[in-house]
Amino acid sequence: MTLSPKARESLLGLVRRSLAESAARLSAISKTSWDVPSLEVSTGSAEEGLSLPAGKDGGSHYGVYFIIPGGVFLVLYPQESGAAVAHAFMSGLGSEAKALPDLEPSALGEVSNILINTVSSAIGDACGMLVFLSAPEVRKGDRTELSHSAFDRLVVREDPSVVVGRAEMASPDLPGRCSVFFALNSAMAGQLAGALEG
Amino acid sequence: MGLRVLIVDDNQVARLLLSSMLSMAGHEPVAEAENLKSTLAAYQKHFPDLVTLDLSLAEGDGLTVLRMLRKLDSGARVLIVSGNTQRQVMEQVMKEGALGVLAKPFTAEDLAKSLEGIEPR
Repeated sequence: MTLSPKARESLLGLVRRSLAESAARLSAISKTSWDVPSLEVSTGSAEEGLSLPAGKDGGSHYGVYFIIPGGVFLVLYPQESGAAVAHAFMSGLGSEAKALPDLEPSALGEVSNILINTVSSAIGDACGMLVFLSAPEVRKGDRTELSHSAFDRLVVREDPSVVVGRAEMASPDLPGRCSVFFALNSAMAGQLAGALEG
Repeated sequence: MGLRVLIVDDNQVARLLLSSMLSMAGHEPVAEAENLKSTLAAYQKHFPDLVTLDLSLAEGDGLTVLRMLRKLDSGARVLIVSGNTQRQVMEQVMKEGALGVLAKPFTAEDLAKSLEGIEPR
């Protein structure tokens, strides 16, 4: 399956609007402005999707995964950015709660849920189906390893036509940034493309 | 007079933040739950004035929990507190008897506005 030019443009528009809302949500959380400097959507085999660019970031990252039927989402934070975002999110907690051990992964799971729900909600509305994100799974590791692991969750290694979206989000003032990935298997992508073309 | 509130959310920090905001506003978070089973058990034990319910849960989804709570007690008062703002989901939860929806992220003022008019049992 390939996306028609109309479906591709519609999908890009849908994701762009959703991530603009995500940026507004992150801005409300961190009290700093966020934007989306890059966004792309591509189609191809799962193997092609697996060759996600490693990016220039070395070092440890937080990866937060969510599953929906036929799709997987991943938010990647360089460790320092993840810590800054988690700290901003937890600023309203009392000192007693902040003293609890290692709340950082839990905070990033919640922030990422708030961020990704805009995209999953838009996909659900476009397809005419109710979509609920899974609970987040938060892992730490190398960026490339975490990216590849997203596709294992979708079980699409043999899928000939996945749709992959990639975006960067950044807040220069926090400072913080994250990468957003999503992949839809051929069944889900076909349903979405049909809806966007109709 | 404050409300006795059961907080249902799979995320620990989300529960801590909401509990803190509710306490600051003079309400009493009586229990927390993160899945259907623990929610139903806590509801029967505490019979709260209000349940705040997230839609993304570790086991199942919030819509199922809403249905089960309303089946258990047709007078159960449930406020959806979620990052999920899908139009069709919102229509469905209101149809299933939710009091309203508070979208994440929210401020203490947003929360207070959502709770306006809700009285203790």
